[in-house]
Amino acid sequence: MDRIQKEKDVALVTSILAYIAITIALYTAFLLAGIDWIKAAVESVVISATIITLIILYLFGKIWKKELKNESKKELASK
Amino acid sequence: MKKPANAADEKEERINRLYRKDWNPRRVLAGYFSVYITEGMVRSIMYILPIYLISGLFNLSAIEIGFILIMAYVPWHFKFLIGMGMDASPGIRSWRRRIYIVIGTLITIAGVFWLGGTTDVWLGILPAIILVMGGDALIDTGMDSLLLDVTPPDWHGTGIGVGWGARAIGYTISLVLALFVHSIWGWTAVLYLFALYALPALLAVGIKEPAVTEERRIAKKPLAETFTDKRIVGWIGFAFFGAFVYVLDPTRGFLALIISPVTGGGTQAIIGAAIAFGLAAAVSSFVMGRMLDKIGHRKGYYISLLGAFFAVMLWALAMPSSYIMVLIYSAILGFLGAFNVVAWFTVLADTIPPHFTAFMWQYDMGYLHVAAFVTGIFISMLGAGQLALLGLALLMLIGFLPAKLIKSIKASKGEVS
Repeated sequence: MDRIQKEKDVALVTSILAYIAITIALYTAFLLAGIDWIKAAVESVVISATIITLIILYLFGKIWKKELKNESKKELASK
Repeated sequence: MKKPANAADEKEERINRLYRKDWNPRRVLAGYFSVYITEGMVRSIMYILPIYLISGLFNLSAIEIGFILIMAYVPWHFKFLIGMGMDASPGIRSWRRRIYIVIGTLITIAGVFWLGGTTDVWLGILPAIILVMGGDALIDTGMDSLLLDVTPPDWHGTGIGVGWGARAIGYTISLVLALFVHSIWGWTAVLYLFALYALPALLAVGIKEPAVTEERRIAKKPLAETFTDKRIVGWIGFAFFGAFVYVLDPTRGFLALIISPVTGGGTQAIIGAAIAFGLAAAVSSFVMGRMLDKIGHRKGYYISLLGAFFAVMLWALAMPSSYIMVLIYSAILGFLGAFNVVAWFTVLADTIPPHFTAFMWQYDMGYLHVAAFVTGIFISMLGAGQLALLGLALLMLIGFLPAKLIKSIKASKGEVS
């Protein structure tokens, strides 16, 4: 249980850091492409939210799979 | 009751159940049509608002106007989160998605009245337009998921075609009415028209919704099955690369930019081109949407992509030289572009897991925005002329690759036909 919780914490921190990194990278790229700073800021926040959702669901999806496997093992054992 | 043996049997069982219990083509298609008429009309506010803001009533810079327009779209960018909430929420009696359609309609109307009654830009127009677009986002998310909840995959092309066609009719009607009303009664009357535009969406409440069973509720298992499956890369690739032509939709603003040198930039000429585009897009969506269900969704997509490529190449290689030619070119682009977008929607619809239709559909739609934004930068950098269109046409061809790769997974509603 503790191991799964630890994996969740790591996934959460990774996701937050990845979100910040992607937002900054996109913002810089949009500025270099000549987009107004306001538009670049809003769009980088929005687009990185779309991308990070995929990463979050992948990371947590792997953990959830383990959780579900453990639960079904427990269920079988109790029978 | 006999349990399905594997994922394919499970899907077949589910589709048979849709035909037996939930699928009522006349009622569902009429409801979807009415919601998308509303959506097209309400969304046209983004075409009209910049003209209103630079009309001389307000002393705004280009950056300030740009900021207002970007902020207006923010609720639309987060529709996938709205969808996630919608998939997690329970139904009240037999109402689930319809609740959001009604709430969205009321929010849109409230926003329109606020917008029409204020001249304060930052504490009036800005929050009011966000409210209008927020209400419209709720209606859109609710209705799309309702369509996917009750429509068998064999009808996805027809269903989505009806919606996309209605949307094109919606913004065309709205633009014609706006021109007419503005010439007689002025801007305030034009803005109040949008309150009426929100009403047709309420006709969708006549659709019977299926019960919220375990299969229709977002949960860890289907989410994990979907997002840890390597084939998700094909979905996302297709969602991003599959419909680059959408950047030339009149609601995105680039069509106006491209035709301005030919028409001299007059508002009426630009709106005229949008009307020609919209009418052709409506016809195409209805006819080609039905055709997609007959010839197969993936095969239809390949044909549509070639068509859209041809339409953009036409502009790239021989710019129209007169206003009449602009109208003809816009109509061709409207017809073939809408076919491509409807085919793209349809292929994606086949892959959506029934457990989280609202979230997954809106998540895919998020990539349509990302793609339009990125291709928009590309067009602007190349000067919004023939070179940019040539580049766009070539980029569009990338769509063939993810279309070949996209496959349904265990949790998907059906198979990509």
